[in-house]
Amino acid sequence: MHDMAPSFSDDRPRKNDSELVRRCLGGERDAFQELTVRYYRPVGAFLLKRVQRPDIVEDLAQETFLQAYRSLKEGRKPENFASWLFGIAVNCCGKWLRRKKPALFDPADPPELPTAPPAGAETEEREEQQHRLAALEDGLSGLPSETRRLLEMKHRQGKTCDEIAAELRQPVGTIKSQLSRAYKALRERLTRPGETT
Amino acid sequence: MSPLTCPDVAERLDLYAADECDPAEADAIRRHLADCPQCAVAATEARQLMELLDLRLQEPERLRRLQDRLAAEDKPRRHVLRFPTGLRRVVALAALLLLTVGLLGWLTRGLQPVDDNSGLTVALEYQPPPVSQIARGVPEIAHPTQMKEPRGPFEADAKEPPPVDLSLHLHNTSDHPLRVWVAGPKTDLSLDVSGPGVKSVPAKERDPAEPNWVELRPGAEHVIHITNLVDDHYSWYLTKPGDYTVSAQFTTRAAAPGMAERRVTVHSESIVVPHNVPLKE
Repeated sequence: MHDMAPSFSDDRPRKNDSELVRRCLGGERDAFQELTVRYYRPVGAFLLKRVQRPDIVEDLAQETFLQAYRSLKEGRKPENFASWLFGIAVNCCGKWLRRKKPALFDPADPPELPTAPPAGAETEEREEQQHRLAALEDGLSGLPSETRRLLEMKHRQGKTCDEIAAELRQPVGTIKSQLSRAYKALRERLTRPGETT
Repeated sequence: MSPLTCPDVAERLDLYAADECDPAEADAIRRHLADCPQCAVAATEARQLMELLDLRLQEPERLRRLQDRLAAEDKPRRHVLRFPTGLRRVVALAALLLLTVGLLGWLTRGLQPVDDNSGLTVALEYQPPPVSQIARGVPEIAHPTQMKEPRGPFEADAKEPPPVDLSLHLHNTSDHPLRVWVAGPKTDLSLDVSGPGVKSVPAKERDPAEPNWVELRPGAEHVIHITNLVDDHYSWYLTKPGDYTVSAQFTTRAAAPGMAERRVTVHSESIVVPHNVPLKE
């Protein structure tokens, strides 16, 4: 898919995190941008898993990276950038969870509120979500280009099947069938353990 | 619609999670899921797939918005607070901040979502308070700014942010209704104040506002009143007479009918707020 974000499986030469962090500490914002491209997706997936609220994941991800950026600008040098970054993400989640007001639902029918997992659980969550992202990436790359285009229209552009059908001048049933097949294939990928490359 | 069997539900589950079932069908699936733990597990998996797809496929736009915020982060704040000992400064600022937010562009059906600034128009105005009100001494609008010198150490956690009379006008200039979040965790207000005596301190954590959204008809506007000179990040203090420049950035989420919610960040142009009142002890 030509304008998708860079995949983690791409084979471009990558500078290691330490080198990029060193450049950040020297005041190079470009180096931090490279780190955001590298870590945005895993951090986002981790946040999604933690808070189970897709509508606030972007805000929390932004807050995570902004806090990391500010710390680096102040001269903080993390031992391990990834662990440090996910630690910040954990803190952002914790702060958000503490601020959530539990009084907005009917006491007789309370929703399942996400709660902060015990310390150390983030490594497991990170690995699980990394695995799911890799599986999703594999699944997407195996789809026909027309189907990927439909997914982009639906999930990137936020269009409904009716709107997609009108734009592509196809019956809405055809669009729904194609999407349904794609979802099924992707979901099988995600739920089948140990089959990602 | 008659009750569905597990195979019926399995067949429709992904489109249900993608919000693409008609209401009757969605209702029948919901009723089945309430009584079928196995299908409920599959429904959770389907929902998680949709969330991961959103995350994955919207990544370019989200990264671009993050880069914009990082770039904004590098803009130097004009003053860093180093308060001397003294009493808290009391600031009374009367200003009218008009943000006209045109939520056009990507919210229009058929257009691709684009980055925040495309299709948005922002206007910022300052209106001094009426002379009659100045004469009557209405506290909030007696003058654009009034303040007292602090006498003791400034303790951010013990001080209320200065009172202010600002209003943020959100204006729908599109040709269809828009649902816009105006309070709560989906919104973020960031002020930028500069001038001869401006000080800022990190805002102390406040109770989050109750989430609230409004539906704006085409041409309609919603006004958000800002009663303290504080945004979601900093408290701002004016300490000397002179002209102060104020601008605002407001981030929210908005949706047109039938469209997914989109993040919107609008920037006002800077306005000059004169402050010529001598400091009061």
